[in-house]
Amino acid sequence: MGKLGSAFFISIVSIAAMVVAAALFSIVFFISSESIRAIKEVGFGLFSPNWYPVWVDAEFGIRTMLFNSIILALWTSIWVWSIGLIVALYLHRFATKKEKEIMLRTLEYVSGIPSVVLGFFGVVVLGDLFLKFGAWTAQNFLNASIMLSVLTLPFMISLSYQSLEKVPREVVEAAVALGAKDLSVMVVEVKYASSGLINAMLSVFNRIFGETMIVLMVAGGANVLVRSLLDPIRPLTAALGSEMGEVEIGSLHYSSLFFIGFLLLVGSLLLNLLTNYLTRQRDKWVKG
Amino acid sequence: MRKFLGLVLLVASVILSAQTLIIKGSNTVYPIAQLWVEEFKKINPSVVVTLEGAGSTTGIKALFNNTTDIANSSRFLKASEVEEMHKAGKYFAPIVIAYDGLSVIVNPNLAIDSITMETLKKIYTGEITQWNQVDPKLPNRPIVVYSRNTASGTFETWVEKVLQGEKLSPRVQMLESSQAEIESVAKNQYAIAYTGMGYVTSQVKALKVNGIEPTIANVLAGVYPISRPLYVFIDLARFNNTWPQQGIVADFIRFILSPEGQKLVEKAGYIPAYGTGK
Repeated sequence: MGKLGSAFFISIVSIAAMVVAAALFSIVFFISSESIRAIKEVGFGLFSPNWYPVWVDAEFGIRTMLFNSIILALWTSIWVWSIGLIVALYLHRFATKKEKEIMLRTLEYVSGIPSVVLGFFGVVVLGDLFLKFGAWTAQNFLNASIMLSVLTLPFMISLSYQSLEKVPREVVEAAVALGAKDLSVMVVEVKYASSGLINAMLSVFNRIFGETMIVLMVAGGANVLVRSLLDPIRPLTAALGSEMGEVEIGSLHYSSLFFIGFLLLVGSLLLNLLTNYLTRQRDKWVKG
Repeated sequence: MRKFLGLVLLVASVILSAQTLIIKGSNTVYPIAQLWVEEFKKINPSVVVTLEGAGSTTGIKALFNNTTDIANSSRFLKASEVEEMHKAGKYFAPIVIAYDGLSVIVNPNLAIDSITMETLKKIYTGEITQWNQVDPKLPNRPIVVYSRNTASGTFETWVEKVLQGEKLSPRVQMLESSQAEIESVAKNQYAIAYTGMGYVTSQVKALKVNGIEPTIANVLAGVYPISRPLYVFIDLARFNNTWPQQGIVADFIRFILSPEGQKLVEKAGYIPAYGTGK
């Protein structure tokens, strides 16, 4: 019975694994094959700045949207990384037990908020504040950036906190024994935990880059390259989310949208590879 | 073998006896068609209706291929389609079922009541960017221009009637719903947007266009400039080139032109082409 049971279990698990792998490959195949038409017919035009998909002389340039996506993700990531790391260090080194408990519990709740709710908050509350303080439009780069930070900060804090907690006591004690003060001890800890921290940072970047609902609702939807924090922008994911629902299936517009999807997929894949590479490098460095 | 054939025939006849109605076409007409189909199913529970909204061109193509019974369209047939229709020995009959009239909306606090089509075109193509360029009495503030996203039928009407095919300025902000447009304009004193007349609320101010008020009466009289008729096409060649009086298509057409059907047009935010009262 035991043998039969385990054989049954193994077959179920392996079938599940195969189904998942097959689904993943078919998604990649489907997305890339649907985007072939756009690549063939539009070619380098895909990287021109203007996106006019439904006009008679249509243009399918994604450059502005791509740049806006990257700028938004980088700008937001830098804030989230630094604030997240500082908060995690505080929790790890200085917080009392009660503070830790309250903070971690709160972060858990905040990380459960669906992005559409955050988007709604951005439109209704934050947008109003922006207008009161003299911004010319309620939906803009900064609004999206703030809402994206709220979405990803809990993620960043708890991931970096966990990797800091994993630093063995011996390392800290050895540093202290060598005469390290608070700041130097922290540096040692951060260096020791760097593989986990890098993993957290790149996951956060990936999450921000791929987030759709918030940017669709609060980024502004104007296809201009961002010049000030209060400019409305339209990242790649927003265009995809906005237009995919109603596009004529099989048209050039449809294919171009798939090309955007393909680009996002490749981007996140490369980022994952980079994460793996860097964390492995750091692990090697730590273990000597 | 004979038994098997009999079985096939039986199955086929069962399938055929359950009446099906296929409707394809315009995104603009889609919300109306959804309401129609819902009500129509209540009246005729045995009918199976499929509804797709992938664009007017797709609907008319489907009428050529006999893959739809009814084609919804937000435009009339193109010259090339009329020619092709004659060649194929078909006869697509247009039925105007509603009008899509768009209101231009601004914040109630902005001191403007009327705007011209020319100015609107300049605002939306980016030629004018400040309110004092529209009227020297208005403040020197940037115009915050909102539009519906390219997937909406409202957007199509706007491009056709106001932009006349020209490209929208990239500074125009795309919003996902009429509701979002109204709220954004209600909150921002220097915003402008357009929306279907049925959606306008007291939070915003609807402007006169070329001096003409955006009212249902003015759209029906044909004097309000930003409106267009919406059509349903059927292929009369399938009914021996006569108007169908019996059958599922005839029933559906009768229903959508009835006061009940036209009330649903109003509910979807459009202007009924025919009476909604008894």
